[in-house]
Amino acid sequence: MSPFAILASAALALIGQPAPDFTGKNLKGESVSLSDFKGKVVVLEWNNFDCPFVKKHYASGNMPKLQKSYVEKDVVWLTINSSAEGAQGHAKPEELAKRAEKEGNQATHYLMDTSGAIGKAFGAKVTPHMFVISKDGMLVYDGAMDSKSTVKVEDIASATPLLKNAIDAALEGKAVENPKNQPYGCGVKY
Amino acid sequence: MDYARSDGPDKPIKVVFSIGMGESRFLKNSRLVRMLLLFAALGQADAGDTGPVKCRLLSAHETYQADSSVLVGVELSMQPGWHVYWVNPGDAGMATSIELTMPDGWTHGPIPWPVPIKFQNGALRGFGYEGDVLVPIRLSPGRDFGETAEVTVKVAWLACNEDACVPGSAELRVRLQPGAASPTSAIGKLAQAEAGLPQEDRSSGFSVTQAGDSLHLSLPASQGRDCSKVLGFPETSQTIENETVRFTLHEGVWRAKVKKNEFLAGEATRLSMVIAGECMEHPIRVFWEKP
Repeated sequence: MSPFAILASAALALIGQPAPDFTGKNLKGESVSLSDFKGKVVVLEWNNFDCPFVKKHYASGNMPKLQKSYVEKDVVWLTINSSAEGAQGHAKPEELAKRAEKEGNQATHYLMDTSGAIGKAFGAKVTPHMFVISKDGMLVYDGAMDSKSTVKVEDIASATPLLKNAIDAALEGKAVENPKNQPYGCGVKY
Repeated sequence: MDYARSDGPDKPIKVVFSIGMGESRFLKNSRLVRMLLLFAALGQADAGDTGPVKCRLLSAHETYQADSSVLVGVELSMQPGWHVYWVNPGDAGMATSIELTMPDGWTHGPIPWPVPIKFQNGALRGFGYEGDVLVPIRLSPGRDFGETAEVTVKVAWLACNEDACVPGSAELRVRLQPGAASPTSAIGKLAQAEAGLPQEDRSSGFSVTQAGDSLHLSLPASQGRDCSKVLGFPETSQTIENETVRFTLHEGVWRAKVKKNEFLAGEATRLSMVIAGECMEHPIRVFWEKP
């Protein structure tokens, strides 16, 4: 492991600890910071629309449905794109805005993280890798969308909805039952 | 015997096209996409060699007999730079799956995956295959029913390179006639692949002790296992770190200290590994369960 990797892993967000603050630009070029949302449950979703695992949750409508239902419950949902320039999933903000609309993305903001700084601060490994931050700013979930690590849409219905369970617990101020599990997906294209 | 193939519901060619149409500079400029466009123009989209992975079904014989097993094999051939995943895919990716449909009464054992390699992409570690991999599967026919036996294999994979991931699937079929053994040209290749498979060793003496975030692995170096180099691959996922385990020989025992997997809550309860050493006749699969 290189010295840089040790530093990077030391900066990782940890379950039960305050989530590291960050600032990113949304697709309109406005600055958005995690600290803007104190007192609210915040969901972070790592995204690459061309990744087959992301397609699974968008083509099925699962991701947009979750986004819509929780944003209506005053949850802040941030979809984050950490693909480097030239890698799968990267596009200019105006192209991504069209793509996000076409895919039915209902997030509060879609953030550009082309440098990968936000992704690395949270240790985002794959798309979709999901995080939940409690109303008091603690990281309470770091893991998968659900329990079935496949690209098959038909597996969504029978999977344990790990993310949904975590958001529900965070909204009720309860402890998340399975706060850290292995997310499944394509590697984030840093 | 004859073969037939068709692409599964998520045709790789479609996915590659959607990426090629503007989202990825890498794929847009690649030879692969130009080739696909050519195939599409010629109407050969199901030629079996579109996308980054080509998949074939091989059979050692054109025939089957009630009392002798039939050796078939699934061959996956990856374009340079692309890989597919082992049963433990590692930090990301998806295990390749093979499902067989056979005549009533026919059986086969667990899919015997060959020894994988480890690949690294940034901080992510994975296990799988690059280049060509042949998965030999031995089928046991039931009674001789005097008719053509049709075996269908469904293969599903996720292929990734450094910049992209593309799912693929294929449905392949072979028809075998009842009758005396009639070998095909694939028999040598299949036999060789089968001889190189890891073999189950339930009495290897493989054991694990745990101390904090470390696991100490030990394997007695008996039975011609005193090679100068022995490597291990964790078949059980989310138990130890996704690394190639390098064992060191000490007083007749191969030992290695490894890190606990970050997603393992509490102590490890079971671990199976594939062990390969240059002096070993064939790789082995070893198993440990917490007493």
